[in-house]
Amino acid sequence: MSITTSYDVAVIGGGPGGYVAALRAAQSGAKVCLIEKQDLGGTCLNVGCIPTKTFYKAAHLLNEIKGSAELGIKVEKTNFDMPRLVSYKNGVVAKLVQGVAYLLKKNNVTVIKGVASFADKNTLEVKTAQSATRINAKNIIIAAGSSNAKPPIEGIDGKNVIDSTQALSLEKLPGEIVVIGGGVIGAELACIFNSFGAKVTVLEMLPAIVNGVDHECQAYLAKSMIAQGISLLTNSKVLAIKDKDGRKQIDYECGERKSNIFADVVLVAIGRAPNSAQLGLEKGGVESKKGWIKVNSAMQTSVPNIYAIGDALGEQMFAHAAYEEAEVAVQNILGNPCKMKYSSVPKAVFTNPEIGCVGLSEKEAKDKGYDVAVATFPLHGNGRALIDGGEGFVKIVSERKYHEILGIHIVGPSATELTGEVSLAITSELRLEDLAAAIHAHPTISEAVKEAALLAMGRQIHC
Amino acid sequence: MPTELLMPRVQPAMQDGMIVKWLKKEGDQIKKGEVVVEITSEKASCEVETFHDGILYKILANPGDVIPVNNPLAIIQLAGDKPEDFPGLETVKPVPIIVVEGKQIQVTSETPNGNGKIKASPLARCLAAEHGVDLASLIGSGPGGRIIKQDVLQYHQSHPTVAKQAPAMQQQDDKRIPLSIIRRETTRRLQLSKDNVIPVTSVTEINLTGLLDLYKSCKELWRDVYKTNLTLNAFFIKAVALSLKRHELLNSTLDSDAIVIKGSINIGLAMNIDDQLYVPVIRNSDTITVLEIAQRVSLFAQKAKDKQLTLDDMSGGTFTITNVGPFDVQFSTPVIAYPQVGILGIGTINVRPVYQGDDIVKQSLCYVSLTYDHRVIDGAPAAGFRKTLKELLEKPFVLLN
Ligand SMILES: Cc1cc2nc3c(=O)[nH]c(=O)nc-3n(C[C@H](O)[C@H](O)[C@H](O)COP(=O)(O)OP(=O)(O)OC[C@H]3O[C@@H](n4cnc5c(N)ncnc54)[C@H](O)[C@@H]3O)c2cc1C
Repeated sequence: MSITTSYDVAVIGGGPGGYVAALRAAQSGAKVCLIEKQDLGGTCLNVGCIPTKTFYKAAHLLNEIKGSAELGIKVEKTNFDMPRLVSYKNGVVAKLVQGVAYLLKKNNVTVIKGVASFADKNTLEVKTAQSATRINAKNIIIAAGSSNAKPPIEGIDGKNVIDSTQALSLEKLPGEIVVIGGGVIGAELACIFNSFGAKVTVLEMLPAIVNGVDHECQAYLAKSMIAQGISLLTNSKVLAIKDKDGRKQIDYECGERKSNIFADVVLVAIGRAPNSAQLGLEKGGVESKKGWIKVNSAMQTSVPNIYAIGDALGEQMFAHAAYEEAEVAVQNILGNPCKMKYSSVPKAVFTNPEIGCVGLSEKEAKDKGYDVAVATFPLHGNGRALIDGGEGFVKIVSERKYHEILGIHIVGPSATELTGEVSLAITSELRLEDLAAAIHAHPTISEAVKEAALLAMGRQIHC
Repeated sequence: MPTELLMPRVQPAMQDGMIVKWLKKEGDQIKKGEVVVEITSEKASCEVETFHDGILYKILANPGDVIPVNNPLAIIQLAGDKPEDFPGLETVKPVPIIVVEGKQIQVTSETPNGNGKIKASPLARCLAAEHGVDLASLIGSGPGGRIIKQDVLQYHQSHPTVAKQAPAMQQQDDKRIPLSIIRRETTRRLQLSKDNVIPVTSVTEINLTGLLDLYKSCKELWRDVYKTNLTLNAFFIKAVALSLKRHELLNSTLDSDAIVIKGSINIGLAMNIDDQLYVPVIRNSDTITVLEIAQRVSLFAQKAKDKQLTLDDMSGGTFTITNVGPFDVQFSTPVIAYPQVGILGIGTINVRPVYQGDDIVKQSLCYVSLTYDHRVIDGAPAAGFRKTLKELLEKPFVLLN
């Protein structure tokens, strides 16, 4: 075993959590190393946010083209070229990954390739195919992220059964796809592949899709997806995936009723699993639950000098949550105590239509005992949404007496983009009055946010 | 548009005020700058002027009513107002008011906080107003020290107001005395001191035999020549002021990141007049003579008896003296008037036999207790201050220079 090098901070994982933590710590003058077993950028850049959003862009463009005749633009024939899109996506990913490598280098972060595992609370062992080294660190940040979970379903390892990662590098557009799991990732990919022209069916075990967002958003999205031709089978549990005549047969039960459907490809999107098996958490003394690492609000694990952030916590599995957790962990390491606040982490769902939510859902607010007032402003009252041919709504959940904004839930064009304003409002503890007092440009969809705030106070203009 | 006359915030900590007397009645013409109503807050009265020409349309609060700051006292009909403007009064915009009490104070919508505006989220402001929490007494935990909802709620929970007390707690036999404005303000200030200050008290014995002789010889002379009622307190004030000049750490306040040594030495003297505590401030006590101090002290005592003390008379203190001797108290541990960092308690003067060498002599002795904020002052500087004070009071002729 070679000589040990010492660092102030060692970061495990080069995804959004890890690289931001490494940059922040290095910028503050710490001696930092980052250990990554695969590609810098992690899930987000390589097989998550960025690739899916590249696909989303293509899907959106196809939808625009479909609707363009009404605006006087007739497109005779569209040719969708899957390999071409995949190579475009690979180009975008490569550029961004290089960008991360450049930033780390510029900020003097030592990037080490290999699999990291704990030897003790201050020592990491880094293994590559050829060698093993030891690293000593005063503080360690675990940002090992998550991977696609694999449910114990018969036939899950069969041919043409893919996960989200493989779906983003398909060589050919399948004719029919069954998506198992109607969570954020499943719903996004279902909408995307439907727009590409595949016949899509979603099988979801729970009564609703995209759980975790406000129930009206869920219902609106489900309705829209059905209207686009996607088959949505909720309360449906997959029993087995079989091969039949060169195609896939999916057996499922819906209540008492057992049934099956056929497809060319089965896309499994039933959730994420922690990347903790290789970490040797027990040697570091780090507590976890089913592999998800336990932390306090300072992002500190059960071992004071070991922090954990990002998907590895199984908390809010968004890249922007990982960014903020990275910031909190590093500030605490630098001796500036601060806490992670989850109350205004936006939920951005890139389905068709998009969903953007920040704060409490109507149900959560009621469960917390607030005297809740709900105002829903429909986007058909918004000029820009009408021009764009989009529908949806802005729903504000507020507290009746003090006009505290508890949550804002948006479905429709630009919904994810609008989370910026909403997050600012909730983070800054603005009240309905403040949101309504801000002048919003016309004609923009953001005007609907102001209108909803006015509506919540009973002072709506365009409704 | 009709406009409202609001309860002004006469000084930063003020939360509400009581109507003393209306000088105008409904229907009266009022002119910009005219005094309309007298109010009282904390320990002083002041007069409220209007900012507008118009008619006093409606009086909303009666003498004796306690009205929170920035809440309406009356509605003023402006020159151009039409009668139909009046039913929907909730749209009325608060206007600034000028308050007269010797000095003019501009009331701003923002609460002043020592050297700047208070940073608080809109929701925190709204909750603070609702719960009667003074934002100036909070430390913000939000970004950049901003006061957020949680700070207000936490403070409110740990400082329950009278209104919050559950009626179930009331028992048939208990008598409830509603808190007067002054009592409420005193409670708040004491709480502020308890929450912020880490007090330490140390007591020293001082031989006042010489001072008493000097005092007796001056008293009659000054009464006849200067028409001034000399008290021992005038000497104490002077001695403390000179000691503070030499030990300036005791004449300071603590900021978040610095100790601020005050530019002048302004000594508050606690006075009990008609069972009411007043603390008028003798400004620049170090630069004026004992005679001038004595003159100011007796003027303040007279003003307090006549209920004429102004807020100005009682603000700006940098150190406080409380002479509890007359109440037959040997020594006390008084509470520091936050944000000051020190207070001196003077006990009863006792005549005792004391060994001087082998002789037993008669001496007038007195325990003097210094309570100081340990966050700012350690034991050694406090001891230095006490030593200087003792020297000055035991060689009192220096004080007359
Ligand atoms: C299909 C898909 C779409 C998504 N879309 C969005 C989106 O639109 N918006 C959004 O905000 N989020 C999205 N996400 C979620 C987002 O990608 C994650 O929340 C984010 O990547 C979490 O960052 P992280 O740093 O915690 O972990 P990861 O990005 O998973 O990075 C962890 C890194 O650690 C490395 N690693 C793990 N263990 C070790 C070890 N022992 N030694 C060395 N290295 C190790 C891994 O190789 C990996 O590179 C999406 C995810 C998926 C799967």
